[in-house]
Amino acid sequence: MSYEGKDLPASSGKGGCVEKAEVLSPLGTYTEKMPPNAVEKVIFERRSIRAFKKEPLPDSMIRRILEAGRFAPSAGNSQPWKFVVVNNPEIIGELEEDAKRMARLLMWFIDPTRTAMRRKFLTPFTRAIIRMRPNELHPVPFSLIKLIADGKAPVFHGAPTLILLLEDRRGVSCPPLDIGICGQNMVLAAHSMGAGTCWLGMIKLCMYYPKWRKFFGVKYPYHLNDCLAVGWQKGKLDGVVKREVQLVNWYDRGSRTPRVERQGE
Amino acid sequence: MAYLKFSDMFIVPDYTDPSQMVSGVLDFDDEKCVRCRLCTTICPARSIAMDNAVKGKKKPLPHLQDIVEGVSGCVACGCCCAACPEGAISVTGGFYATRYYTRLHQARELSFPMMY
Repeated sequence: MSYEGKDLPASSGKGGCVEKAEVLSPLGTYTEKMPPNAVEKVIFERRSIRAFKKEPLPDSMIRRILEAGRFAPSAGNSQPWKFVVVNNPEIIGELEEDAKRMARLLMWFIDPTRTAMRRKFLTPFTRAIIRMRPNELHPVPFSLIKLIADGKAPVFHGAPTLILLLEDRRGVSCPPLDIGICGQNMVLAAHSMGAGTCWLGMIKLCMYYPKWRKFFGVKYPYHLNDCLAVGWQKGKLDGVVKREVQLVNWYDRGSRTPRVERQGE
Repeated sequence: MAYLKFSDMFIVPDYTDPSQMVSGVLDFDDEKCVRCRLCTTICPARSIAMDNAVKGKKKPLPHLQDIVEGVSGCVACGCCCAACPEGAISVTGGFYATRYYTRLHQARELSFPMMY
């Protein structure tokens, strides 16, 4: 099977999905143009899930997902991660409210679009502040924080369970990178078992509250940058989509100048 | 030769200007869409809306709604395409910010996973 020309998602069963007795290539082999194998299928059909059923995954399944994270590679095998499972909807509800409050506070200070006066005078300050924190205030999270502050978008998407990925700053080389690798192992394991996950960096909003840092034990040497929402998908939301063609520089045998290849075409 | 213009290293785009913040573009298939509104709830940017039906006419197609004029907030993530039970949605244009956030090594085209 190929994904070409597939505007159809997994859920429709009309294509783009391997559920209806479609052939998966066996693991451990590669032949050109072969259909995806099980691992590739999980990778290509994974979507971030933002609609969950209320009922959480069974504890044993959560432990199975954590196991995939435990075996992730890390620099010097330092495993600079600490897992915290929040399986309590009341706590998550409080986190949601507090994240919203922090979003509103932040937007009060930097959103120039609220009034005409602000638009006139605040805009240069906003642009300067964005430039000082270009990753956290990139247009995408900026709009999301505004949506959250306006009550138009949820923070934790009603997830029944959060897996907090605490980063040990004393880890070898680049601990935040190792957290990503560990978390993605968990994401792929979860999706391979039919569950849904979503990376939530908005947990950072809650880390501005000393009370939450104390509650979860996020103090030296730990940071909390990201967490995973995990749960049963509300519907069949995984499926294959398009993505930007990537430009890759290839240094071929016998050549010292790279040629640019369009990855995905 | 630097990747970014010197001025772009210091200047962020105006988030409210559609010429500096190109939103994603979606195509909704009139025949396939059953007006279930699932896309409006799935979109992480809350960019898709579907107006109510005008009496006597067919329910309108969902559409991207602007946050400020010309900027919809769509980042072409494809979640709506994957979630649509009828496969009625496709992404026809990607999301591009400019100046400091200029995309350097992705093309304008989008493609499905290629089985090399």
